[in-house]
Amino acid sequence: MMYDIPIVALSLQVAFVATGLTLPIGLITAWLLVRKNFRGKFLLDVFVSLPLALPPVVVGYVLLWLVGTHGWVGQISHGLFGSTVAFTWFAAVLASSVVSFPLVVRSFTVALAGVDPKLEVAAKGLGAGSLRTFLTVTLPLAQRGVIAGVLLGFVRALSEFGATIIVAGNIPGRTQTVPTAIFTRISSGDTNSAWRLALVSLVLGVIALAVHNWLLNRPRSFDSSGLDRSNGPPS
Amino acid sequence: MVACDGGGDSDVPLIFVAASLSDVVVEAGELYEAETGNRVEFSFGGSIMLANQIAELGAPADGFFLVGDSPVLILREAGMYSDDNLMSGLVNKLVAIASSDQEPLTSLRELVEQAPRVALGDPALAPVGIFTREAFESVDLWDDVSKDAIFALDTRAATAAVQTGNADYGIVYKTDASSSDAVSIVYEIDETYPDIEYVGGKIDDASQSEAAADFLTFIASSPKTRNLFVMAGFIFDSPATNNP
Repeated sequence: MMYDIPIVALSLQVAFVATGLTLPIGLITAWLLVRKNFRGKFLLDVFVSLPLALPPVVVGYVLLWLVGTHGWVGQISHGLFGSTVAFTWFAAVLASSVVSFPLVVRSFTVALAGVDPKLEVAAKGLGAGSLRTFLTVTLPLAQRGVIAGVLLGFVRALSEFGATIIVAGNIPGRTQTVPTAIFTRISSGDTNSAWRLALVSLVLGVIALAVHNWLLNRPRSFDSSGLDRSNGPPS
Repeated sequence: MVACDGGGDSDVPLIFVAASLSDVVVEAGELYEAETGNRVEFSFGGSIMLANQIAELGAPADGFFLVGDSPVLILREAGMYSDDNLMSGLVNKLVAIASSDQEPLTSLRELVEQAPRVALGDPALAPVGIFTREAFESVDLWDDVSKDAIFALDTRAATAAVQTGNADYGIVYKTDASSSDAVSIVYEIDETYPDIEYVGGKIDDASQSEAAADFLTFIASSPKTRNLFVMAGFIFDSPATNNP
């Protein structure tokens, strides 16, 4: 039981940091996809969704190929810091971020698409810049969809296995997360402790999904133009 | 936001350890910390998989304690290991295991003739698979046993497959058989296979390579840790070299 606490703590840490990375990058990406027209938009859309379509083990292998000792990112970081991020907890963050990114961006695009562009035009007409308009008009109106996307990404990051075990390994106390620890325990026939961690996963997943659904279904306080009804799950 | 100090400390040496040694090395690590105040961390798995992680994929190992010739060869060819062995002379044996109610066997042929599902170590990932393949090949039975075998990541996973009833027999190290009450040894393999010897060493140029060497030297020389290995069923083919 005592051995479980650091594993759960590391998993939460990885998922929090991954969510912290995917939130700003996901918002910029979603905004580009919803509000901008540019050459290569179709390619960006495909590229963003690609991790959903690939086996996570392939995502892990591509990441390892980039950040490992033979990858170009790995060569640079080895030159600068004398080490690479492969097989460190931050590699687990990268794996979780990439795998959860499509889910986050999809939630964000739906949320941003539900905001009436006329309100943004009005804000700009009153003298607000693009960034200010986004932060004070668009984001507050899309906030429920954005928070729901963040939670969905967090849940996916917490449950990431395939990419993580390839690029971060499964090192107890360093990179072992709840899913990879469960894998070790199943492989070594440690049935009771495997079930115990599975139960922890279940509880964390239920809590995050309950909050996610509550956010999407709770009555609106002020906005009339906010996100599209079809965004919410069936109630 | 959670503090970003990560899991583990980079000033603690990380040692990659053969799955078959996992229980006893964790105990040895606790003993080492109690006696010296220094910590060590481990990553466990099939020795070939671990050696490839170090040599090819950039895993941050400072030392290793692996089994068989092939992992050491992988590290040597990558130019990461040149020193003499810090820990050697520890050996293991290959056995066939089954659930505790099974009758003993007299040969590998008898095992194969029952056409059971057998859990084996995967020769591409774990040395136990290579030893197993050589033992079966020496009596020309490898093709028969491997066509329906369950290939496991390492010897512990092969043991677990028998323990959970997903395989009828498993070919594992003798020390794994004693790690679970649910399985028992049905045959001590005396067909020909290479000596199963563990090798411990430090990774050249790793940041904590000397700390890893200190731990491995401690294991090799402390009578208490040697006793841990003997209690777990390992055999030393040479006496302790020096005292701590």
